[in-house]
This record gives sequence, structure tokens and C-alpha cells, in this order.
Amino acid sequence: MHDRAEVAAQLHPWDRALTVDQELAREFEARLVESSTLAVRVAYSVLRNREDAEDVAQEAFAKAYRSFTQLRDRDRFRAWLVRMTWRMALDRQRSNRRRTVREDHADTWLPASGRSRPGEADLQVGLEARERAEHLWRAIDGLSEKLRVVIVLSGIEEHDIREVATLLELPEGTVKSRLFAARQQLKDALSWMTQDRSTR
Amino acid sequence: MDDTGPQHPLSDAQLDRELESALGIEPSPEFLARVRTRIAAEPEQSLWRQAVWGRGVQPLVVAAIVGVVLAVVVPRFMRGGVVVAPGVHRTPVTQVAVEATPVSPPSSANDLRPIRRRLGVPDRVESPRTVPLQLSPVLFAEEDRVAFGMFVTAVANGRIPETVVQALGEADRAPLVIAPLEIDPLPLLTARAQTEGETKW
Repeated sequence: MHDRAEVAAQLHPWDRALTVDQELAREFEARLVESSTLAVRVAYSVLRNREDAEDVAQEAFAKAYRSFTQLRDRDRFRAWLVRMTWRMALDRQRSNRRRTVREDHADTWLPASGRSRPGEADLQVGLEARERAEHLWRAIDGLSEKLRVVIVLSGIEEHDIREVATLLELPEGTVKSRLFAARQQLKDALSWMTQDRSTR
Repeated sequence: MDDTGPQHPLSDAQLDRELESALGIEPSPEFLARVRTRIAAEPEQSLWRQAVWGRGVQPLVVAAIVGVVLAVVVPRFMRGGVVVAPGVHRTPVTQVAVEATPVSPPSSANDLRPIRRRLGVPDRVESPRTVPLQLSPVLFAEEDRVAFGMFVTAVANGRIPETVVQALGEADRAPLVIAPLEIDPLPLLTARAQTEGETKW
């Protein structure tokens, strides 16, 4: 059986270039498939909107593709993807907020009949689950960014401390202490849930 | 809901469940296809070329540019060339090289002849080497330029203007008196100043 390098060496330089291209494309495809959920969830944790999250994740992958030759290592790729997605999601969130403020301002000039009535369709969804999720997100938003990113990454795909440390390129000890602090704050903030359950 | 009920912190398992349900969003089935389409719309650039450019060629190109700059600019500076900023007009200024020859000043125009013969210079220069004398009008007044031009022409033709000869003659007649030079001895530093190295000027 021929070694891959041997086969590549026997090829014409042009064919060799194509082969390398194909190999890189194949590697990128593998990264895309295995990291798409990660990227979408990271973006969703910031934006709380599936469409926006997918848009941001898509742009992050496009950026990753442009610099893929420097990101071929799996861990490096995923760490870069998390950072890039998080940053782009925060940018999108800021611009969304600005747009919402503008639209709210514009809405005040519309006749009452022209205004949409948000939330009507959502009433079909379980109100309780929605309320709980809202409280959880509010509690997560109350965390500092350092704690927030750690708790979000540990909650995504059940990453353990070592994996989160690799993704954030931080020492494991730092991740561990941040995760502990974040969980503690969340537990305190969501203690009403246990009260609610116990009194039911 | 009873607001007066006991409050207990969430257990780890409960918190994990809440996080999982909040973050457990899956990308839509068409997400991957959308990303692939988006990447296909990226400007055509070979990944292989990217790799080569990023790793090997870039430093070589930078080295080549630096080499060319050094090869062109440094020799110019070594030759003493002055780089003129674009848009600055340089007025050509004639450089007159004067050979310093220890010759005593002649008292008249005729005394120049033996010196000229000794130096191998003809008495009369019929067609002197024409060096266009261009003195910058900014640095030289008009009358100075004319006077200097006349002087250069006279020297080139083997004659010195009368005024110069007269001035030289008067200089010969007047004795040169040089006052004796007196040098004051250097003040001696005190022993303390010497040791401490203090100097007050």
C-alpha cells in the first residue's frame, strides 16, 4: 500500500496542488460538520434567536475558511471558532439593540392598527418552560463575561473543564474556579425554582 | 405559588438540566448547506496557494524588496548623492575647484609670466575653458556676481585688475606687525576641588 506522501510526490506539481486543495477542503468539511452545533450554540447563548445565531455562525465559518491554512489543528480551529463566534454575536447583539431602539422609536409614530402584536403565536408554547428559560437567561446575563463564557461552554455539548480550558486557551485551574463561581451565582439566582417546585 | 415557602439553592443536577434545556439548540437541517453555499461564494483562492503564500513565499518577497531597496538607495548615499524630494527644483550651482599652490603674490601682471611658464600655463589663454558661471541669485547680489565674473575672466586671461595690484602693492609696503602673544597661566585648582572633581565655571 502506498503512503499518501509517496503518491503525492509522484504527481505533477499542478495535480499535487489540486490534491492539497482537495485535502484541505476535506479537512474543512470535517471541521464544519463537527463544530457547527458548537458555533450555533455559542452564538445562540448571546443572541437568543436561532436565525441570528445561524447567520453569525455561518459568517464565522466563512472567516475560518479564509484563514484555514493557519487553523488546521482541530483544537486551534475550535478555540478560534468559539472566540470569533462569540465576538461576532456580541457585535450582532449590539447592532440589534440599536435597531430595536430605532424601530421602537419609529413605532410610536405608527397608527395603533399598523403595529404588530408580538407574542401571540408564542402563547401556544408552554408558558412555564418559557418563563423558566427567561429567568435562566436573565441569571446568565447577570454574570460577568468571563464567567458567562465558561458556563455557556460547559453547558454546550457537556464539555468538561479540560475541554473548556482548551477552547478558551486558559489554564484548567482558572476555568475550574470560574465555573464554580458561575454555578454558585446561578444557583443562588434561581433558588426560587426549587421553592416553586416544593410548594406545588 | 406560595411566596412564603422555603428557598433552597438549585442542585447541580437541576442546574445542569436547566442549562441543557436552554442551550440545547440544534442547528436547522439546512444550516450546513447554507454554510457550504456561502463558502462556495467566497472569492476563488486556492487553499494551496494560501498555504504557500502564508508559509514560504511571504518572507522571501519581503527579503527581496529589502534587498532591492538596499541595492538602489545605499550606493546613492555612498556616492554622496542627495536625494531631492519630489517637487523641489534644484538650481545647478557651479563648483569651482581651486588648486592651492604656494605662490607669493605678484606685484604686477608681468610677474605672473614666469609662474605660468613654470606651471606650464600659456601666457595668453585664447580660448579658456568655458565654465558657465552660474551663481545663485538668492545667495549673491547682482553686483557681486558681475564683479566676481570679471575677476574670474581677468584671471583666466592672465591679467589681474589694477585695483587688486594696487592693493597688493600697498600690502607689501606696509610692515606687518604682529603683537606678541601673551598666555595667562592656568588657574590652579584647590586641593579639595581636585579630589572632589568639582568644577565651577
